[in-house]
Amino acid sequence: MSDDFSDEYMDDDYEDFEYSDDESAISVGSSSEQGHSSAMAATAASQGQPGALSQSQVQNSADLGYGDDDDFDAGDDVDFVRAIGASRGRKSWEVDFKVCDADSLRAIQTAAIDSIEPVLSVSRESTTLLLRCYAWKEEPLVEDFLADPDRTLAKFGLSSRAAAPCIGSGDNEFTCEICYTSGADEKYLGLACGHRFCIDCYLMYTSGKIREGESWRIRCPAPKCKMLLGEEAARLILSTSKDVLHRYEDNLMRSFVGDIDSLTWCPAPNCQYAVQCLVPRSAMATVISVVRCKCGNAFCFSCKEGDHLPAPCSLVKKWLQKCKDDSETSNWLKANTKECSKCKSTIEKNGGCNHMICRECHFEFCWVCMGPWNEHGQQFYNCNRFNEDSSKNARDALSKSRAQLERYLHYFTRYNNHEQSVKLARKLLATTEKNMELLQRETTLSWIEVQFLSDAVDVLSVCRTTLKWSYVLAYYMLSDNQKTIFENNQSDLEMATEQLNELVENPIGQSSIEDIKRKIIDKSTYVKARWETLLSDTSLGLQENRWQFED
Amino acid sequence: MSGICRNRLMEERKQWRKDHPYGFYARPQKSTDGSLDLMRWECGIPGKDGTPWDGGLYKCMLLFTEDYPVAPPKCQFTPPLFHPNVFPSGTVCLSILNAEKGWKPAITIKQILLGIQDLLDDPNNEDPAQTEAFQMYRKDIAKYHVKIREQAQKFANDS
Repeated sequence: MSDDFSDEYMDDDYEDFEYSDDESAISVGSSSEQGHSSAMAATAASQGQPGALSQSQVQNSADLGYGDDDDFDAGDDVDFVRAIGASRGRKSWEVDFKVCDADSLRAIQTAAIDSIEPVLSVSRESTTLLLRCYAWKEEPLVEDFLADPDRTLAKFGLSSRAAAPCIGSGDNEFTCEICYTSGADEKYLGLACGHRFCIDCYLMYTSGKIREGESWRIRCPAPKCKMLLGEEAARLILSTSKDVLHRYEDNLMRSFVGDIDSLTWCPAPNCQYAVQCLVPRSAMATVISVVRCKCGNAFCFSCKEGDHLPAPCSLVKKWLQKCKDDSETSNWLKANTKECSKCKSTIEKNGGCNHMICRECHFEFCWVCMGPWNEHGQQFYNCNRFNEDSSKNARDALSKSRAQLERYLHYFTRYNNHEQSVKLARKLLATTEKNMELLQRETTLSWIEVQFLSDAVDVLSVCRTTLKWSYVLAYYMLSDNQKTIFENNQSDLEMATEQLNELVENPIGQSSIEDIKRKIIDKSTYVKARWETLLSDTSLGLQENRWQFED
Repeated sequence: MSGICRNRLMEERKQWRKDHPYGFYARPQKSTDGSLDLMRWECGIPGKDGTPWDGGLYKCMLLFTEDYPVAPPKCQFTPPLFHPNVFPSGTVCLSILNAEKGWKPAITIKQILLGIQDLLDDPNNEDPAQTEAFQMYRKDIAKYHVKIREQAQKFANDS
């Protein structure tokens, strides 16, 4: 798919909507018993008229100038999924990033050390340790070092006359001050500070620190000595315990990645890769930096949540918090209950007349105006105090909170629905694979020719994830014309996604396989187009500050 | 008891008997059967001359674990002390007794006890461990000193 396509699509916003109206007109026409509006896209899922729709679509796609036969190529779908986050022809919502394995991380370290080594002209080991002390920030290090080399070294327990650490033995005078063994047989190790300890105590001490997650911050075991234990010494000590050495190297790498702003570990369990992303932290408020690790995990570089395009991190955090804590329970209480005006017990009225007697304190009051019942005189079953100010205010507050709750539930149901569907997509993939086998056996199609099915499922999961988070964006977005445009895009994508889902779930029917294949590929292409429209529109919108969000 | 922990504690005992700072004492506790329990030491720390702590002998326990000397011992005043860096349980909050901070395997019992003596008259405002002493030390130093002198008398060194 060409890149200028999405731009063209963007420019033709208006045509866009005309098109979607066309489509809904057709679907309404073919299933007129179902009430349908384009804004309530969720209902589109239930409209099983795939034939009519994809027919109209091919025609419309051609009108928009992207319906060339070349585009309906199964290979294109694969590219689509891969291109999410890839740097090839970057889209407006994509960010540049690089997945790093251990070797490339080491290469970054080596490059940093190489570039600064000639400036400091101390040993490579000390250079590395200094860089680690300064969290790999070269500028402050060079500044401090050039001002006072010895002080800078001493501050971090280093020394310019650092002799390489080595293991010695054969000194009758030697006593290890940790275990108090002594004699010429004892092997010992001393750092540049001159404190010597036996190799067994060193091993025990460093292994303990390494198990706690330490690496380069381990110091000489002598009291108050600040001398850092470098990598060379650590390798000597740990030469007999490969496991601990491995852990030590891991810790070193972990600390390196943690120190560098543009690096982060992929949060997937057991994933060994780190991701480098050069979007500056300051831009992260408006740019959603979703990256895709080599292990297949797509996540947000900034907040480490899963792919949450098109909602920005701040809204995602707010939303997840809202769904997690039970603030909505209290909203429900507000909407459905009142408090006894005397003892403040929470009361839900589930029947009967307005003459309430509190079960807790036996206070008698009127459910309508909340005033004491005895003030109602003889008009027992018809409250005439309804229009008094206090009663009015109480009722206003009640209906407002009820409306808020309904609004939240509206968005939450849709968000949750897509979340469940993403999970179901995994199941769908299994059925799809069965269907693909069936297709290969029953038709003359080869393996590569039936890939269109699993590609369509991939498209579905990606779009469902985007739809899910689009409801979070919509929940916090204040209503205006700009929001209407966003919601139209959202509803188009949702409708198309549901239709594609239906096509994929029942691929084998009466019609011929070529027909089905064409329909699914057509629909996938269309869904992709809607997906790209939504994402490019939201990513630009966020950068342009197009929408107002509630606090 | 692991070899290294035991050897080290025996050596500590030997060193202490050979030489220890004036006014201090430190000895492994006697178990009920009369044997020595090297993992629990009874110690006494005198207050420094010329400070409000002068005249008192403050008793504490050093509690070692199998991980010693990789892990530091726990030091607990019995009874608990009125001091900003002593928890209500009596446990001392001191950087050299913290595995993540200043503890080094080569720190000796002598150094620990001298370190605690230094802490008595020089509390660390960064790590308050009890509210009462910390608040008084910050807000009313005169009243604090009176209280410390009272405590020194209570724990007067009779020996």
